[in-house]
Amino acid sequence: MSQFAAAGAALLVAGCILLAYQFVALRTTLTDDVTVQAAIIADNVAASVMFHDQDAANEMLRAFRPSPFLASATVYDGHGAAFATYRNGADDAAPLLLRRLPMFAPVSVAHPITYRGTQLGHVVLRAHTQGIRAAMLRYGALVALASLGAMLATSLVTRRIKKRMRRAEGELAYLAYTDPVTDLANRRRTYEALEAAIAAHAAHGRPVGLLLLDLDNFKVVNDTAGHAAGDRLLRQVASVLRATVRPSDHIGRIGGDEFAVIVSPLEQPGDLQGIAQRILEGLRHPLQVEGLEVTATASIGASAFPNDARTMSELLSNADAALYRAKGNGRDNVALYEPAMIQAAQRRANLERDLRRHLDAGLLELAYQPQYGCASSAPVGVEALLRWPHPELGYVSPAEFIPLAEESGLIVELGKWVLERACEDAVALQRDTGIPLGMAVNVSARQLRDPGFIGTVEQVLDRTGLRPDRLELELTESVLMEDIDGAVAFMHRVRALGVRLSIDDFGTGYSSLAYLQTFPINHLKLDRSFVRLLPQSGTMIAGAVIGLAHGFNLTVIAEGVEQPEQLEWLRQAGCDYVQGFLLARPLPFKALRALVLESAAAPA
Amino acid sequence: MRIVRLASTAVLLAAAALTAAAQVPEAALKAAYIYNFAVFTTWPADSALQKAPFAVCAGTDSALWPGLQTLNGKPVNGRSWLAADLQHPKGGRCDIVVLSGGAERPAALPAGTLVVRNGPGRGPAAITLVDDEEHIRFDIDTQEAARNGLRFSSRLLRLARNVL
Repeated sequence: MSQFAAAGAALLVAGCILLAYQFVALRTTLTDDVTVQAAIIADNVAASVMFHDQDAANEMLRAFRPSPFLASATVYDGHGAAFATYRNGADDAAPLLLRRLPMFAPVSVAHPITYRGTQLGHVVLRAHTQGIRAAMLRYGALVALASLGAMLATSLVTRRIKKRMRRAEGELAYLAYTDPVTDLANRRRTYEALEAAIAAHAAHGRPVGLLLLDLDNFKVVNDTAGHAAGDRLLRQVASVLRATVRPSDHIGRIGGDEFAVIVSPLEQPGDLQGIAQRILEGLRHPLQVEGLEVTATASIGASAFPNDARTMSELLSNADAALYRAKGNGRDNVALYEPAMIQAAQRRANLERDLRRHLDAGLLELAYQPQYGCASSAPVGVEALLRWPHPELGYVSPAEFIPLAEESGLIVELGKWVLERACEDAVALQRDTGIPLGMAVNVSARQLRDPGFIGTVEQVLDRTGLRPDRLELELTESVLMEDIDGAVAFMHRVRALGVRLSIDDFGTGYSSLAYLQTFPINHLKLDRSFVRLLPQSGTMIAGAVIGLAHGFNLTVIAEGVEQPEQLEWLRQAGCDYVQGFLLARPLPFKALRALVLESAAAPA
Repeated sequence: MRIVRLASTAVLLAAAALTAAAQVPEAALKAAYIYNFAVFTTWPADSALQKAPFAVCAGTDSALWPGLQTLNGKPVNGRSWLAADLQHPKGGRCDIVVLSGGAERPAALPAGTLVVRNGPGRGPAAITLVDDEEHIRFDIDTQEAARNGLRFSSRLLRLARNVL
């Protein structure tokens, strides 16, 4: 609007200047014309004045009747007396007010009458300004019309520019606040919405719920089927979320495979569980992604404001802690926030920090659990087990700190340290006792994907001088199944070094016998969960695994043997090796050395 | 109101001026006319006459003689007006010859002489002054003027009563 006013004012000023100029030009022209006419009259009337012939003078003046502007012409003789007069009969039709304006006053011109240097009198001409007024009126109308047209054009152009700007701003806002893959709100917008929902709590007093959702298998889909498939999966998940939650709730994608649902207003915090369950159920329907049938499962952490948290950041970290718990609970489930989770998260953060420090400080230890042939009492090998004697917390379970090391990437360094130490100890044990034992070392998923790991194994063997076939790398079945092609390639490279391979916890996950055939492994490990049931039950599975392994020409080792009956059954079933508390607990290196020396001294 | 008063004043003044003009004696007025004729007439070029007085010849006994004499010394085309006796003109030549109504035209007037006759009469004259209802008018004979090598201004012709 102010732009309009400015343009209007500018046009008004320009119009006034143009009108003023036009007026001056018109009046000057009129004055010039009248002056010329006065000169002509003066010239023509000279003889009449000299001969006092008034008739001739009047006749001559009447000749100027057609002049459009001449109002009157009067000839004065040398004495100043009126000699002849002409008056235009037409009256000035302009209103008196206009006529009285100085600018529209009649133009009056006096011109001397001379003949051969003698002044005979003078002529006075008066011209009315009707023509000027009419011309000014027309010109003013033209200027007004042009200004109006200009304003109209300007307003049209301005409107179009503004429209375009609004559209561009809209697009920018959309890009800044929207996740381009799923069309959901992005992290920034989601956080803003959460802030707004929390602010609204002050108004209506009802709680705000926050669900953090993390896809369990997104990485697998992305890695195996490609990014396009990953994007399709994300869009499908987004549509499931849209279909499940209320329209008033807010959905956002806040990370690679992380989604957030803001439930506001929430009737009561207990409702979050139901909403989260409905989302998980919606996801359980298999989705078609690039021709593959994928079942997306997710872990959901839930937290409510103000019941669980007093601030937005607290709410977010609480929901995150609950999400962590849900994942820890085996995925595809929901965890509601409990205060203990934050303590657990705190503990995790502390442990991760300490683990790094203690690894550098050399506080970690290895314990070795001997492995025996079913028929002999002398150990044939050991499994290296990592121990962390924390100065304040006591021994921290590997089940607690290994996942932390996997998450933080510290596992690569940790794994390298374990491998080196185990190989050094194996060499030292043989040197001290003269008895060569196999050394089994566990390999984590992260190490398997680490392209430098094979090189590390090679270097360690080289440096310690351990015979490659004395080293055995244990892989877990679930790790292998995550990326079968990569795992098979890895195993072939390991086998090419001469290092032996075994599969840990066989039979507990989704194993495929077809794959078992293609894996270049030496051992199968019968999981402790099967052994524990022996000999009362579980014999079918244990027997089948042993039979299967032998069918594939693999040796079998049973772990977790604690009862003599279990050992007896395994011996009967043809199991090759055993390990467990019944035979020996995990021992520090010195105790292991003593055990080996002792068993060597004892008669077989 | 004021405009109306001014206008009426102007009309009164104009009327007074007209009355004054009418009171000028007829003979003096005719002399003035003759002077004006001279002003509106072109004589054939004659460099010998550049410095000579402008001779206006009339009978000393004519009615116009005093009026013509009062104009002595007035400039006419750069020369000086001089009233002269028609019988004995100075230098033997006249630029204008003024004849009374019935008077005979002198024989053998040289070319370049303007003959003005006061009132109707016989014999050719380039200009004839006529009294016409209290107005002084004049007739012009352009053929006679042309014979004498004279040319009149169109302004003069326009004011004439008759032009032959």
